[in-house]
Amino acid sequence: MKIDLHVVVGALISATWFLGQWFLSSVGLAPGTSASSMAMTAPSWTLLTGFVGLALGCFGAFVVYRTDHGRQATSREAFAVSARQLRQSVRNAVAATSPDLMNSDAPASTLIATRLPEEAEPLAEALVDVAHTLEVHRESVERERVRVRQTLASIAEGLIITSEDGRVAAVNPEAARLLDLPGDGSSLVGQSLVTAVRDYEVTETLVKAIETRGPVTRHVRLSPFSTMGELSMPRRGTGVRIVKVSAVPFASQSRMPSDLGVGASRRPVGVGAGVIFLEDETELRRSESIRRDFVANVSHELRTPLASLKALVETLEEGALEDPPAAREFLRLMHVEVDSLTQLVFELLELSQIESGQAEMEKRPVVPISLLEAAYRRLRTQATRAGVDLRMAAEHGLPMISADPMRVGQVLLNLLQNAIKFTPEGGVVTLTAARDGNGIRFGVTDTGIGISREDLSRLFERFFKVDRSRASGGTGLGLAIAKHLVQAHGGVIGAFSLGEGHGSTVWFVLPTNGESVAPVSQQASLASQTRGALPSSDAPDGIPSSAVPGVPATPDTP
Amino acid sequence: MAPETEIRKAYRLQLAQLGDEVLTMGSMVDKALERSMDALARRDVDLARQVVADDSFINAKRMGIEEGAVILLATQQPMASDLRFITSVEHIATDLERMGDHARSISRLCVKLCAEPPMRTVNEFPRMIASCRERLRLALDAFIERDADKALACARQDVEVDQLQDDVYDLMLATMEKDGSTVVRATYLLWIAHNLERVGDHITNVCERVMYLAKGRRHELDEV
Repeated sequence: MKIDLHVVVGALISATWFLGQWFLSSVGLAPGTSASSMAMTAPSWTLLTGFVGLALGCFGAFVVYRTDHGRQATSREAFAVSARQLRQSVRNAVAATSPDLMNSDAPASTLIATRLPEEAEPLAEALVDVAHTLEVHRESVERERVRVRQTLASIAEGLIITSEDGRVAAVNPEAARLLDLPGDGSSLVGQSLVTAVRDYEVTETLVKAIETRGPVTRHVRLSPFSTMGELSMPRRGTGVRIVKVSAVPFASQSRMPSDLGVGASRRPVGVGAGVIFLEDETELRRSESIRRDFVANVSHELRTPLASLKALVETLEEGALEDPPAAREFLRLMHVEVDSLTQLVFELLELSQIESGQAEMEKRPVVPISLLEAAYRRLRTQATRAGVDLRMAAEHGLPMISADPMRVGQVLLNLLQNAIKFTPEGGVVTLTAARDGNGIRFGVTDTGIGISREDLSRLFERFFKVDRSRASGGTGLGLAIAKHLVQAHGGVIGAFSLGEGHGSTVWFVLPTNGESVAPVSQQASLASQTRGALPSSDAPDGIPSSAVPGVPATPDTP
Repeated sequence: MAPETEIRKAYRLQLAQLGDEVLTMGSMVDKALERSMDALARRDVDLARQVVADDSFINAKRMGIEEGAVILLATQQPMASDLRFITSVEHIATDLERMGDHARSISRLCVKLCAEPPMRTVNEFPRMIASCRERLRLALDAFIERDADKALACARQDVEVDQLQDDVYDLMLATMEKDGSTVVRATYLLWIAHNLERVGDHITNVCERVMYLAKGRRHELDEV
């Protein structure tokens, strides 16, 4: 047992008191000795006072002891409070730099408790300094983050960044557009790539890149769900896309910036950290296919008359030259072939000039009826010869249009020639002109063989011929040229037919103000698509109407 | 709460990965269906043959999913919702594989049809395939979100494909009656419609599994 110093001091005081009393009483000076009334002997008085002294000493020692202990306890409590405040300050300082407070306006320094005891003031000041430094750092990080976000949004390519655990760390709006992701894709950050993208070819590209530790590129055909919907035809522009997907894995799969990692654990196999680039190549593929088709078609069209010419020359060489009447006939046939070659080359040049915008349009105010009359006069004889009744029906008082009369006349002639060519003897071809919105609608209607729905969608393509056997001649460029000429005038062109054997109408609308048209009846023609009408603006060159499942060839049976 | 152990963490990851694998397989089946119908629309024999060849990848994926599920069952002995999840994944993978088989059948029929002269457009097909693809997406969404309501809504849409199949049936019969030379081609088209209808049924099965996963009770959704 530990003997306290205070008890010892108390005992000494009381012992001194006791001995003093004993000494005084023994020499007869004790106060108790004079009080004879008190029947108390000297030794017992001494003993009593001695005990009282001892008690007083102990009490004194106890009081001294308690006071000292109390002081110690108070200082311990004060220390505990300071430590708590200090801890809170440190916590606040740390919290001030945490991501949760990134958007808070309160500066970190205000979050540090200022009511620290005097002794801790240097520490508080140091904490404020640290918090300030962190704040500055945080702001620069935030600025950097905004810059990265803006850069991602402005990139023309689609881009997806994944973290080590296969989750989407960042996605830009172009990627969201290409992959049909909701909104700008930012809502998908944190989701697993497979759940977010839902296209195994895209995710597999990244998996391969991670496996091979190098970039991997592949072309992926994307067909969004909205392609078909309720319609029997896909909405144009939302159809199949060809996207070039390139994936690059991050160099070190274990050293990813922590803010990109959504979860800490790493996926054992499969998607990891990397970048996926997406490039829309639909248009590129389309123009490639048009170019390929064009070259194939031109070669074919050139080869046919050349083969005939070669055959005729060979026949002449092999002896027909000795037979003047036969030779003359062969020469005449050679003329026909050469003419058709010349026509083809001429039309090709013309088409390329119009398409590239090099062909000049000499626009001037023109009376629509004069255009109809000119075409009518030029082809009346041909129609009569073919046994076709050529008629003209124009609305009275049509306003003038701003057009190149030679070019528009060329379009009308082409449409009329086609109509006469495909209308059997006894049929009727009617030339019409009428007001339509802010333009004039010209039309050529026949009672001829008609056009199937599938053919209608390709009617204005280069080299497209309704007559697959190509027995009717022609280059197949006429309507393509007509389309470009009408478009060069700011107009629209289209066709509709009630089906094969039910005749057809090819129409175009030219603006009266020389700008562009918004024909009222175009809506009506679009609505009549079920009957097979199709404005040319919806019919792309060289691209077949590809997404109508079924077995295309003939129109629906009524 | 005690921190998650590494083993537990790995188990959670494996479960999530199993779900991802089902979505991947769903995407493979969706593409196979879309391509088989596109091949039919464009009379593209090469594309149809490609779909037939690619079906082996779908089958392999199913095997992989099954193996993953069995390993998880054996090593983790999961209980309650985890157990339901793993068994559902196995069943859904089987249904998806069957859907892939139907896409392959459609493509085979497409190859045969391309050898025949063109006949006519069947306007019901685009609507059937659109319905199937949209429902497949919805069913897989319901699976990932464990959303019983979504699964039920998806199952209810099956009537549309059934109705369209009936329409194709009537149409083809009428075509065959009118012109005897179309019998072979019309029969092929009927089979295609039947395959699409079966795809719809498998999607309903997936919905049933999702209901079981979400609610813990088995539901027969064929009659909804």
